[in-house]
Amino acid sequence: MPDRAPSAHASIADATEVTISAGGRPIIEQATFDVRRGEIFAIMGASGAGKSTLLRTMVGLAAPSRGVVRLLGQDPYQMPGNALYALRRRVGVAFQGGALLGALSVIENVELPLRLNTRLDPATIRIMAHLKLELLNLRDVDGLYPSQLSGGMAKRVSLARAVVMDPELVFFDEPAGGLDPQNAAELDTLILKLRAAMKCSFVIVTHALDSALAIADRIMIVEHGRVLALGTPAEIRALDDARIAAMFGRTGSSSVTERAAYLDRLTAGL
Amino acid sequence: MSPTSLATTLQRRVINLGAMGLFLGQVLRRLPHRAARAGTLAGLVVAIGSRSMGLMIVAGGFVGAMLAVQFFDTLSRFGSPSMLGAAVGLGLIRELGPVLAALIVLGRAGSALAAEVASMRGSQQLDALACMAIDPLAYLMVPRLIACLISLPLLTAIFDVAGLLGGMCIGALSFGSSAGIFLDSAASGIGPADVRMGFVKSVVFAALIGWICLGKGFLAPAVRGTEDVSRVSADAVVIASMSILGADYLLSALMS
Amino acid sequence: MTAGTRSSNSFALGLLMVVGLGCLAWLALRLGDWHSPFARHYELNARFASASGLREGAFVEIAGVRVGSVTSIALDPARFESVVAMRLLPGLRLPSDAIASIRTSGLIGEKYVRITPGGATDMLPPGGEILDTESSINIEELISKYIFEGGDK
Repeated sequence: MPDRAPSAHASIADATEVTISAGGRPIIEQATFDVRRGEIFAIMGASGAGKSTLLRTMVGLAAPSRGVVRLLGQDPYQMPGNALYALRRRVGVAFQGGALLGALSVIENVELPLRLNTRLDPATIRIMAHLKLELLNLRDVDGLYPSQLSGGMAKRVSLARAVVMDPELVFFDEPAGGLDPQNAAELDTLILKLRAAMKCSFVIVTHALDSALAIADRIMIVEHGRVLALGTPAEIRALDDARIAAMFGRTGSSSVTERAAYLDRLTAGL
Repeated sequence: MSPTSLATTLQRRVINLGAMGLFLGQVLRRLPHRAARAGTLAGLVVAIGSRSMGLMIVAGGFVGAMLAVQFFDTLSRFGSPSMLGAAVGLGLIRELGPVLAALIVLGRAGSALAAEVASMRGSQQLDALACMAIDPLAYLMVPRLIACLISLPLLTAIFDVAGLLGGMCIGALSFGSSAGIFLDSAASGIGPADVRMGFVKSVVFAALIGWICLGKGFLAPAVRGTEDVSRVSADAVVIASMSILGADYLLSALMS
Repeated sequence: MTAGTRSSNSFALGLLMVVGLGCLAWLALRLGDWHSPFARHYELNARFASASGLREGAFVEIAGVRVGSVTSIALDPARFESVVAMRLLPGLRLPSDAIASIRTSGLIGEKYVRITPGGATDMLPPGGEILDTESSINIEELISKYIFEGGDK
């Protein structure tokens, strides 16, 4: 079992002066932050702000052009393949659309990491997968295929799959994306429940401010590739910045960002 | 096209080719330790192979009949219509069988493979697998390549036999040559080297289909919707069919 | 996956394996190296002074009907004669005094073997040899003979 004693640093993932570019154009510039063990860390920003790209870089899928990313204290871009695989078993990722394998049923999707990464017998694997599905209020969905699931259910199955290996750190891309407020709120509660049950940390990429304020311990606001603010929900609320104010929908905000936030709310339902 | 844009296009092509080569190398390295279950492989062989069997029989029959009609006319002009079986058989086993079976499988299964993998790229399923510490190359690509390698030689053999039977029917029905004479002529004309050549070709074509369709899908950049998926799949089919025809020429030249 | 689709999958897979491997085996064993596919053929040899122009695979006919093909043409090194092996339809039996002759279909067509059965009552056993033969007629020789000998007159 992985060592769960908090390290001296108490940071479970961090980025130091990370710049990510695509096609010569910087998407994220000079981002420095750390995610502390046990917390729910929200990365917030309008769509196109580069937050999903940042998530891909943090989980080891796309190397940064400059700077260093560390996951559980290790740089995923500076390690041999098998060590990276060992590291990934301790990290769960739930992608935006669910990214469930279309050829496998719900239960097979959730069992997949256990089946391929452990030597447990199939009956044990089934029980462990059911445990996680039930933790996420998913019952009687075993035999369904991803194409038969609603958006919210696909997200929850994806989350169940991400935590089935009992990771120390879970990344979740857009929990609220494409969900109605009620479903989004339910998912927020489930994230809190998971953290309480599994003592894991969460990094949540979202553009839903309400949900970030409600569940995050700390919020990082990204705009046009730059870190605009980083702090607890109370600190973020207290900030007197026109651009952040725009996100809260206050008056006196700059019209461009207000429009971006507005469009974002509209497209959230798509 | 300006010289600089030509240069960048050329550079991009070279990079793409390099990436495809790297992809093949990575997949081949994972051949010995594949992650998929036997059941997965069986399902893939059914999808790629069994579902195309009927197509092979119908297409093979027609191609054999067509060859019989064409060769009968030519052979009659030179006074050797008794060689019909050999002519049809050699044409099928050495050339048309492997090539046409490969092109049909490419259109039916190869394009679907490319589209499937490209849409998995688009919906982040490949990334999700990597994040679950599951190697998508070993888990997805290796069994698909193996399924191609198992299916196509079998389908080619079915195509050849269907073609011989089709040619035999035409020979017997229309040109008064008996089935026995046709098969005798085929048997005396076709040697082990011809059968071996057809088999080698079908294996090479299967590898080409698997490599190009899977690689194009796997390396597809920025798949955002169904349009991108169908573009990737069309690209893969075009490149793979050209490669099959090119490889056919090379193998014919090398092996005869 | 339901039991129904799984069993139909197995069936489809099994069908491909059986038919595909069957076809492959047939191609490799029967066509690649053909040995009497359906029944035992009637095999005969014939000696010719010259088998010039005759090819393996050439057909054999009796009374204008194709009854088989030439399987091999070899030289008998002792007598400098060609030994032509033929494979005829199963069930056929020829009298011992049958005559084998190498003919040309048309003026420039392929050579074939014509067998003219005789009237003897005893039959050639399978693997037997036709003793009475007529060799290839060489068209070029014939023509030059006609031209030059005709010119002398």
